[in-house]
Amino acid sequence: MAKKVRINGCVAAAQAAKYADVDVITAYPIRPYTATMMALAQMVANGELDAEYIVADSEHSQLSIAHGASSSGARVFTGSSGVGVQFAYELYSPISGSRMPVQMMIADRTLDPPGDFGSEHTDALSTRDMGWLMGWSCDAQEAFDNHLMAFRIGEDPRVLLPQMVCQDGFFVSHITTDCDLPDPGQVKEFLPPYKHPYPLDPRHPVSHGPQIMPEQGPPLQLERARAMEGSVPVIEEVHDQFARIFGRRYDPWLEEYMTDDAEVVFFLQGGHGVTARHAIRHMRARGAKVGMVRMRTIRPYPTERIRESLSKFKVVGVIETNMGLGGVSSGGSLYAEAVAALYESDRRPLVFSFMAGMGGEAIVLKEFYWMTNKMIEAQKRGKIEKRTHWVGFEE
Amino acid sequence: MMYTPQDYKSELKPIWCPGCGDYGVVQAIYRALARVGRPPHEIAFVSGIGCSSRIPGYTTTYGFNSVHGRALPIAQGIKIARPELLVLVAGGDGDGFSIGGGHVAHAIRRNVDLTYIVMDNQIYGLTKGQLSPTSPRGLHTVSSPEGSLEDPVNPLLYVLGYGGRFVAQGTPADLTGLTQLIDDGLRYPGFAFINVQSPCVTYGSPDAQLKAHKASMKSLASLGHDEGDRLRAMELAAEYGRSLHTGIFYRDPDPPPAYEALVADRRRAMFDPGATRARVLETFAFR
Repeated sequence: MAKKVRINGCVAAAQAAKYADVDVITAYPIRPYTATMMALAQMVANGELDAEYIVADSEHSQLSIAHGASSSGARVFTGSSGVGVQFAYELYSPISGSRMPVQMMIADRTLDPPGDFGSEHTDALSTRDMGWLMGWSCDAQEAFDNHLMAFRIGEDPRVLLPQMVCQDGFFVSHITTDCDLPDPGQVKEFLPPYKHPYPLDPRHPVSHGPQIMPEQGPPLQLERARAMEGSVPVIEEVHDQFARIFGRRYDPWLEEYMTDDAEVVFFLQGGHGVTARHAIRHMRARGAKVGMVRMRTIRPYPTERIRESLSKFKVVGVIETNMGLGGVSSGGSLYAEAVAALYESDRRPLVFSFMAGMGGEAIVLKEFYWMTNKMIEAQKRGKIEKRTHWVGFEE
Repeated sequence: MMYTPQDYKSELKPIWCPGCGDYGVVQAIYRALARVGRPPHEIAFVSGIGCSSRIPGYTTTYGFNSVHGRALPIAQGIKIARPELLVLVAGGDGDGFSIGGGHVAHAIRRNVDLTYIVMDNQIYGLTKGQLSPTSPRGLHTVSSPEGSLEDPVNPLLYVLGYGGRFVAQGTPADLTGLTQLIDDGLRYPGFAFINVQSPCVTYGSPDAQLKAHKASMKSLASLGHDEGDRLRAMELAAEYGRSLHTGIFYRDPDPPPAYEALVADRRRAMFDPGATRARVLETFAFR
């Protein structure tokens, strides 16, 4: 039976793993992800979920165990936050390279120093080119739905790629909201039992990850690049199926909010999208033609969609929530890709970055006003003042 | 100049739960440092991540609350670059024997002159009570609601097994004894390991609190243990988790030169203008 519950993002992720009937869970505590591993431990102990549950000795081992379990054909769920995501870095390319559709929940956390627990996206974003499908959810419901869809997409034989399903630490991971949990029968229909085409199997011996000669590398890299590109139609297909079965339709790539007549837009991903919607309604009531484009998927990067979408506006303000130190904008890393996507457009908007929501600070209404004014000023002036504004540090 | 424990106490108020064993450990450290008598600016205190790893901030020494599991390599870097510093390393059982467990063996065999204090509470306290590498089999935690299926690491046997030359265990339930162990560890010329049974008052097992320690602890000296007897030390260490032995399990009666002393020897040999070929070869030969 479908039911309505009040849960936070961490529990929503755990619920999705339960509904997906995962075989192996690997865990290592780090806030804010810990709430997911604790919820799963409880489900296994209650007999709600029949899965192997291992508390590893570090995130590096956690991802290694996940890799091994996935190689044997298991559906595997893991997760982490902040420096924990980073400590497991070595495993990301081997897992996607061996085409193991491990699923990882990430509740974002600022990287050290100096041990700030708040949400910044740098943890997951720093791994964005490792061959994992990646996207952000902005509330518990979307997190649940994205986790379910990610299993279906990553395990599709045309894709076979691991997935990072990200949510902002605390803003999403620890804020309780209404969430519809489906009937298990619907999930069965949507997500068939998992079967990897090349698992380790004593009856059909194969080797995974042998050392190869340099000339054997590029064809494999090309295969992985093709898998990433090939996931695009699968992602769209799966979103359609999801809407048909569960009745919730998401644009796989972008959420556009109040953009119909918008001249200036915020471009962002994750939980700050919820506050942005509120701020936009507030500012619209005072006459500002402002909207929001929220990325739902960043890997594969929806280049065409972003070009089409952002080309409609005069000014794009990228809310980064991540650190791209020394990067092209000296701000965050979202700017560079958005600008690259717009390069081939014949109607390029002005684009610049806002370093806001850093360290897990909420972006408050006053700051949305400040940022909107910066965008409107740029629109009037016809050029940007600078590529990056640190919100709260400037007049 | 004489120092008092107060000279090593910083103005920061510890963020630990009332009743945490770590309060006793930091007191013992203040006292031991006062006895050793090095000025705070000649001491570096390195830790990893966890409740206990907050400890450097509560002292007036140079503090480095570093990365989860990496306290030992960072401390080695400090000591090798600045051998004149007195270097303490601290952390919890998770930091030392789970995520950073691989470094312990190498710190031991490299034998850099460090004093490593592990506050062992058999739980991940900072993240709200998950299994740790020293959690006893069967322990019920939020990550093992049905009880852990794994045997714990035995930190004492681990260090002895890799050839540790100074291995001790204490508890804040015996502050005098713990102070003496840290004092001895700081004076030991080489890698010294002190496992401190430091109870977690919030998530720890009720039968592993200070009161219980007071009732059950047995000093190795009272057992007539010879701290130069390595094999007997291993037998006693094997009782970790069943008996709370306090004191020095093993202290090498004839400590070899520490790593940084060997490095200094080589440097002298390499840059001594009067060195003969035979002298250089002798310095670099295995001993």
